[in-house]
Amino acid sequence: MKLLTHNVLSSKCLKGVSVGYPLRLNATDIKVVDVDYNSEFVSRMIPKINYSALYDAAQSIGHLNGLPDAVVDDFESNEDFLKAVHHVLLEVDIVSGDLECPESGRKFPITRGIPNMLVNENEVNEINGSNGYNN
Amino acid sequence: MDFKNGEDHHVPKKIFSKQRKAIQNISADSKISLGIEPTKQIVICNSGLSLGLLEEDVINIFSPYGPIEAVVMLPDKTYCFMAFHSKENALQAYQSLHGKYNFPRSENLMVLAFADEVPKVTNPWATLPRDGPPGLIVLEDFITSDEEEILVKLLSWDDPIQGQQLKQRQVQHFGFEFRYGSNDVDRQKPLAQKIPDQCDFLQNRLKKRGFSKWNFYPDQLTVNRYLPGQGIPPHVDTHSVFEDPILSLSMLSDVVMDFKDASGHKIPVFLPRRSLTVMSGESRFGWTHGIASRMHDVICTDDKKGLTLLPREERVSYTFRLLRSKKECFCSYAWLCDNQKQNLYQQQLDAIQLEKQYVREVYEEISSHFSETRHTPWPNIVEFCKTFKTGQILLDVGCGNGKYFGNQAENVSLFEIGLDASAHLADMCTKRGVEVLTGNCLNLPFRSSIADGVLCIAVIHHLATHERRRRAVQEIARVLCKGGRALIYVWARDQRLQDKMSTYLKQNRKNRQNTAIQSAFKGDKNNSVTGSGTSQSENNLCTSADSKSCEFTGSLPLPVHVNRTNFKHSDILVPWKLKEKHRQESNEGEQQTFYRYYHVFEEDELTRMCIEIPQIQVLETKYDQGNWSVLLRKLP
Ligand SMILES: [Zn+2]
Repeated sequence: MKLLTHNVLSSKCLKGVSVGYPLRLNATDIKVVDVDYNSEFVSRMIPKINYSALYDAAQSIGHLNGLPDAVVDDFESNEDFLKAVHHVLLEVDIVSGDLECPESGRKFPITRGIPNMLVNENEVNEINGSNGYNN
Repeated sequence: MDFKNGEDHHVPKKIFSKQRKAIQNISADSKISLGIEPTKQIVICNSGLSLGLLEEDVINIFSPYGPIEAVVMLPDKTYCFMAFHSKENALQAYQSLHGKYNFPRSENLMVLAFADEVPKVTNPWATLPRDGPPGLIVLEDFITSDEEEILVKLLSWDDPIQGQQLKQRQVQHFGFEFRYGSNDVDRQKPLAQKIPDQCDFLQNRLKKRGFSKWNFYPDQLTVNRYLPGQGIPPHVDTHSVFEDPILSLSMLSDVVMDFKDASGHKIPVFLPRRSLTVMSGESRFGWTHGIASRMHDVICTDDKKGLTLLPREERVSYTFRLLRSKKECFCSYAWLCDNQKQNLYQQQLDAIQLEKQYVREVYEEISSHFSETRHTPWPNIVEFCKTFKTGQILLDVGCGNGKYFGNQAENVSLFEIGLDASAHLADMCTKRGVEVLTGNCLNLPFRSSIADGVLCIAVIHHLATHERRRRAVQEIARVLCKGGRALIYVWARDQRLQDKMSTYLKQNRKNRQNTAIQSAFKGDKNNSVTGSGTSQSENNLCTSADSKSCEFTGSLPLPVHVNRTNFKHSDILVPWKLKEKHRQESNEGEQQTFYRYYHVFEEDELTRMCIEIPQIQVLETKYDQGNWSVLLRKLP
C-alpha cells in the first residue's frame, strides 16, 4: 500500500465514527520501490491530497526523506520538493502492518501489501427489527 | 406609561449586562429586532426548550398579567418568545418578572426583553380540527354523565381484575390481554373477563352519530387510568394486531393528545370529557399518538384567541379494538408498521446471507479460474478510462483481477486504486503490481470527494436488495469529486434487446471445439461483461436459447438460470462449473458447481436508481451487449 492510498482511506463508515481520518499507520514491513517520476502527476496530485496527513504518516514510519512539513509556495516548479513528494507518495510501499481508526481504535490489517478494509454489517449500520413503540 | 429600564432600582446590576448581551445575541440568532422599548411581545432571554422550560411553564408564569396570545418555543434554543394581547400587559409582566422571577431549581433570575414580533411558527391550535390528522374524528358528548358514571364505577382500581400498574398509568384488559413487551396479544388465550355488557350501546350510538358504515364489534378493551402528571409515550397501536379503526372514550376529564406524523409534524388534539375518539385510516396507521406527562395542558381559550392552561385531573379512557384475523398489515406507512419493519429486517438479513454465500464465498472459491476467463477489457470501458488526465485518481470498485488497470490514454499517468471483496482476487492484483485493497462496495473505505473517476463493472447486480444496490451507487457518488464521472455496468435481464443478441447468448450457439475447456464451463463466465473477445471458452452443453431458461431445485433459495439463455427472473442463481485444475480440494471425477447470485436489471432500472441520488446526474444510459450501463457525473 502506497502512502497516496493511505491518504485517501477513511474509516468513517464505522458506526459511531464521525471523521475516521487520517488512519493511524503502523508498518512492520516496508519496501521502497522505484516508480517513474512524473512532475506533472505530482504537482496535480498535491492539491488533492491532505498534505499534513501525508507528512504525519511518512514521519510515523520514519520515511520522511527530507519532505518539508508544509507545501512550498512554488510547488509546481520546485523539482526538489516534487521529487520528495513523489518518493513519499509512490515509492514507499507498506507490505504489512495495520491501519487504525483514530476514533474507535478498530484495526485494519495490511498483509502482502493489501489493506483489509472489509467491515461486518453490524459494524456499520443499525440492524433493527423492532418498531420501538409500545402501546 | 413612561418607563425607563434604568430607573428600576430593584433589578440587580448584573441583570442589565446580561440583558444587553442577550439582546445582541438573540437578535443576531433569531433575526428579530429586540430592545427595552415596550411592545406586546416578550423574549425570555435565558430559558427555553433546551433548558427544560415548557410552553405550559410560560403560560403559568405569564398568564397572571393578562391574556396570552402566543407562546413560541424554539427547538434547541435557550430562549423563547411569548405575546400578550396588549403592550400594557407585557409591560406589567416585564416589571414584575424581569430580574426578579427565580427559575425553579436554579439560581437564575429571569432576563426579559421586548421583541418587535415573535418567530413565525404555525399555532397548531389555529388549524384544528379541520386540518388534524386525516381519519381522526372526535365525537363530542358521545355518552351522558350517567353512562360515564356507570362505566367508571364498573372498575375497581384498588383491586383490578386483569390490571397492571405501569410506570405512568394503570391499565386493565378485557377480551384479550395486551402484552406490553411484545406489543401484541395472545390470540390463543382469550381472557375470562369479556368486554362488559355495559359497553354494548356503543354500536347503536355509533350508528346514530352517522357511522353506520362501520360494523365494528371490538373484542379487546384496554382501560387506562391517568392521574395528573401521568401520560402515555408516543406510540402507534400495533398495526398487525388490531384492525382499523380504534375507538377511545374519554372520561372524568379533558386531555390533550399529541399526534405526530413521519416528518415530526405535531398536532395537539383536544379530547373533551365524554367524547369518543375515532382513529381511522391515516391517523390510525401513519401517526403516533401520546399524552405528555404533565400537570397542565395548553389549550385554546374559549374565545379561540389565546392560549391558556388546563389543569389535569384524573382521567379514565376505554379503548376498544378489534383483533385482526391474521397477523399482517399492508399499509403504506412502513415507518410505523411492525409487519413491514419485520419484513425489511428479514430481507436485510436474508440479503446479507445470500451475498455472503452466493457471491463472496463463491468468488473466493472460483477466483483463479474466474480470473483466467477475464482477459480482454471492453471497448466502451477502455474508452472511459482514456478520458482521464495525468494526476487524476481512478477507483475501480469491484476490480476483480484488475484487468481495467492501465487502460489510460498514452502518456497519461493516473493513480488507480482497486477494491474487491475477494482476498484472492486482490492478491492477483498485487501480483500485477497494481494498488488494491479489500473492501465492500456498500461502505467504500475512502474519504469523500477524492476520485476523479469510478469504474464499477459487474458488481451491483450481486447485491440482493434495491436498497443495497442504491446504497452502492450512493457510495460511488460520495467518493467522486465534484464534476467526477463514474461508469457502472450491470447485467440486463433482457439479453436480446434491439433484436441484437448479446454476446452472452451468441456464445451458446458458437464453437463446439475447444473441448479441453468445455468440461469446465457449463457456463456463464459473465462474458457479456468480460467482453466479446473472449468467446473461446464456450459452453455448449446446455439447451438452446429458446427453451427453458431456469429451473428450481429443492436445495437452493432462488431459481437457477440455465446458461446462455434469456433470463426469466430478476433474481437468480447462475451456475459456475469449476475447472478441475482450479479445485481447492480434489474430489475425483466430480465437477463442482458453484452458484452466484445475480439481480438482472430491467430496462431503465439502473437509471431510475441513479436518479434517486441527488448529487449525481446521469449523462448516458446504454444497452451494451446484454448489460445496462450508465455514465454518471457528480454535480459541480
Ligand atoms: Zn402497517
